[in-house]
Amino acid sequence: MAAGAPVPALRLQGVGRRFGALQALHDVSMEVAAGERRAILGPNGAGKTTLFNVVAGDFPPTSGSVELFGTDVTRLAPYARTRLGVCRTYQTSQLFMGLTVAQSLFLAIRGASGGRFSPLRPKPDDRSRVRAAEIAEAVGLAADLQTAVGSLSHGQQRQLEVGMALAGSPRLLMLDEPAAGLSRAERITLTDLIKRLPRDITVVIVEHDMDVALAVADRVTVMAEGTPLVEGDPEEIQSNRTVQDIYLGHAVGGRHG
Amino acid sequence: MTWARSQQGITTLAIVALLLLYPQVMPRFWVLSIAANSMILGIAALSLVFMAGYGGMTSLAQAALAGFAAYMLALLSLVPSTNATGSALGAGLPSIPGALIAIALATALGALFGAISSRSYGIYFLMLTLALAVGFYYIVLQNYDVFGGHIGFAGIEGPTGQPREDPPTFYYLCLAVSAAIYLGLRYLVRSQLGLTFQGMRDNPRRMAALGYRVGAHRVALFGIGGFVAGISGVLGAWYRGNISPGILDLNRTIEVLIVAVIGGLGYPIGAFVGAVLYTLIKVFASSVTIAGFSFDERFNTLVGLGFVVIVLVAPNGIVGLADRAYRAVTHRSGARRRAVDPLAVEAGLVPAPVAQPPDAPVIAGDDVPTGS
Repeated sequence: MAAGAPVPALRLQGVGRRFGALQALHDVSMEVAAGERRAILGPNGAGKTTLFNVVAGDFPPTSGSVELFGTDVTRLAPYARTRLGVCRTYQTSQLFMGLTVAQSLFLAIRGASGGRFSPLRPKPDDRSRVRAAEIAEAVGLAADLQTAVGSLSHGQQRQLEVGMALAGSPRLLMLDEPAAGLSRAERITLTDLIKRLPRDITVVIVEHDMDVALAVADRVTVMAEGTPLVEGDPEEIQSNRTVQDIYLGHAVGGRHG
Repeated sequence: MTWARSQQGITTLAIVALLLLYPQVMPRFWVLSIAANSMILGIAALSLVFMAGYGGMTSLAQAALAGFAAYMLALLSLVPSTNATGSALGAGLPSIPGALIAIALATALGALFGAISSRSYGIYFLMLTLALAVGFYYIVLQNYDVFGGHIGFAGIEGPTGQPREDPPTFYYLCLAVSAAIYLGLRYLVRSQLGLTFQGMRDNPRRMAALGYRVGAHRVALFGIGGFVAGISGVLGAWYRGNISPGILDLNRTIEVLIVAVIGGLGYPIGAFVGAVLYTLIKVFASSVTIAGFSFDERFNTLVGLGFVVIVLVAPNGIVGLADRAYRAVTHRSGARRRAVDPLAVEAGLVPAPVAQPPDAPVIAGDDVPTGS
C-alpha cells in the first residue's frame, strides 16, 4: 500500500471457507473504505452470511486473510474483533429472551466499553443506562425499555437487533438482512436510521429488500456461488447485464414483458 | 402499589421473626437435624440454582466442591495427632482462618473446573462436571495418607463449639450465613456481572459478539459456585464434626440436584424450600405408612416418587408453582384496578416487567372496528 493512502475499514484477501465438501466462500477479495456504505447482494446460498461470520470471527477462513482497520484479525476471537469496533446483527435474531430491552442494550454497551466483570449494580444515572435509553429511542423502542425481550413482536426484536449492534459504538457496522420481516413503515424508519448514521461508522449491509439496500448504499457488491462477481455504484449495478442475469433477471424481464 | 409493598414488608418481617424465634421454642432435634441441616443442604443447592438458573450451567460438581472445602478445612484446622488415621497431616489453624482458606480453595477449584468445562454446553457440560465430581471422590477415597480413606477425619470443631452443646448458636450461624449468601446473590443478579451471566445463559454466541469473553465469565461463575458450595461444605463439617468420602459421593451429588429441582431452578429461595422439604421427607419417611405399606428403609422410594410428581406437575419446582398461583390470584384482583393485557402477562416464562409505563393507553379488544 502506498504511504498516506487511507486504511480501509475492511480488507479481505483471497478468503475461502469450506464446510466439508461445500466451498461456501471462494477467493473473496474486497475492500470497504472507511465511512463507506456497502451493500452486498446475491441469491440465497451466495455466501453473504458466511462472509459476515468470517469477518466477525465466528469461524476462521480456511484460506486468505481478514484485515480490520489495517490490523490482521484472521485468527482473532469474536470478542476481540468487537473491541476493535466490529458490531453486527444476525439474519435470525440472536437475543437474550430472559432479559429486558434495557438490560440487553446495557450489556451491549458495557461489552464494548469495559467493566464487564463488575459485581456492582449500575446506578439509575449510570452513563451506560442513559445511553441504553437513547439507543432504544433511536430504534423506536423507547416505550419498551422494561419489556421482556421474549414478549416483543418480531418487528421489535429486529429493531432491538440493530439497537444492540449500535450500542457497541461500532466503527464497522455489519447488518445481516435487518429489514427481513419488517412492515413497510418499519422499513422506512430503519432506512432513515441507517442513512442518519454518522460517517465515521462504516456500514456493510446484506439485504434482500432492494429499496432499503439501494437507498443506503454508496457501493454494491454482488456475490454468487461464494465469490464476488461485480462491484459498482447502485446505478451501475442496476444496469449491469451479468447482475440482471443472475439476480435481477426476473425483475427486468417483468418490465419488458 | 404501596399496599402491595407494605404487605410484602409485613410478610418478610413475619418470616424473619419466625426464623429468629424458632430455635428458642423448638426442641434440639428440630433446630439441628431439620433446620440447620436444611440450611447447609440449601446453600449447596443454591450454588447449583445460581449457576443453572442464571448462567445456564447445570453443574453436577457442587457436592464435590462442598466436600473438597470440608476436607481442606479438616486438613487446615485439625492438629496432626487427632485425626482418625494418625496421619501427620493437619495445620492446626483456628477454625475461622481454616474455614476462610478452605472456602478460598474451593473457589479456586471451582474456577479450575470452570476452565476445564468452559467450552462445553448442555449434556456435555453435565457429563464433564459429573466426571470431575466422581474423579475427585475416588481421589479422596483412595489417597489414604492424605484424606484418611473411607474413615476420613473426626474431631472438627467450629467457632461455636459442638452444635449439640449449643444448638441455637449454631442455628444462628447457619441462618446468618444463609441470609448473607441469599441476599448477596440476589444483589448480584441485577449487577453487571449477573446480567452477563444471564446473557450467557440465553445466548453465548451473541455475548461473544458483544465483546464478552464468554469462557472467562463461565470460569468466574463456576468460581462463585465453588465459593458458595465451599461455605456449605465448611458448615457441614462443623455440623457433623467428622467427614468421610460419603459427603461427596454420587448420592450427595444427586441429593443436591433433587433439592434444587424440587425447589425450582429459577428461584434462589427454592434451594432452601427444597432443602427443608427433602430433609423432612428423609427424616420422617421411616414413620410414614401409606395403605399398609411402610416406607421404613424405603425413604428413597418416597423421595423418588415425590421427585417424579414435581417434575411432571411443576417443572419450575414448588416455588414456581406457588409463584404461578400467586400471580393467578393477584392478577384477578389487579384486573379491577387497571386494565392489563392478560396475554402480555401470560406470554413468556419470564416474570412480568417490573415497571409498567404509567400512562400506557388502554385498548379495549371488543370495540376495535373491523373491515375498512
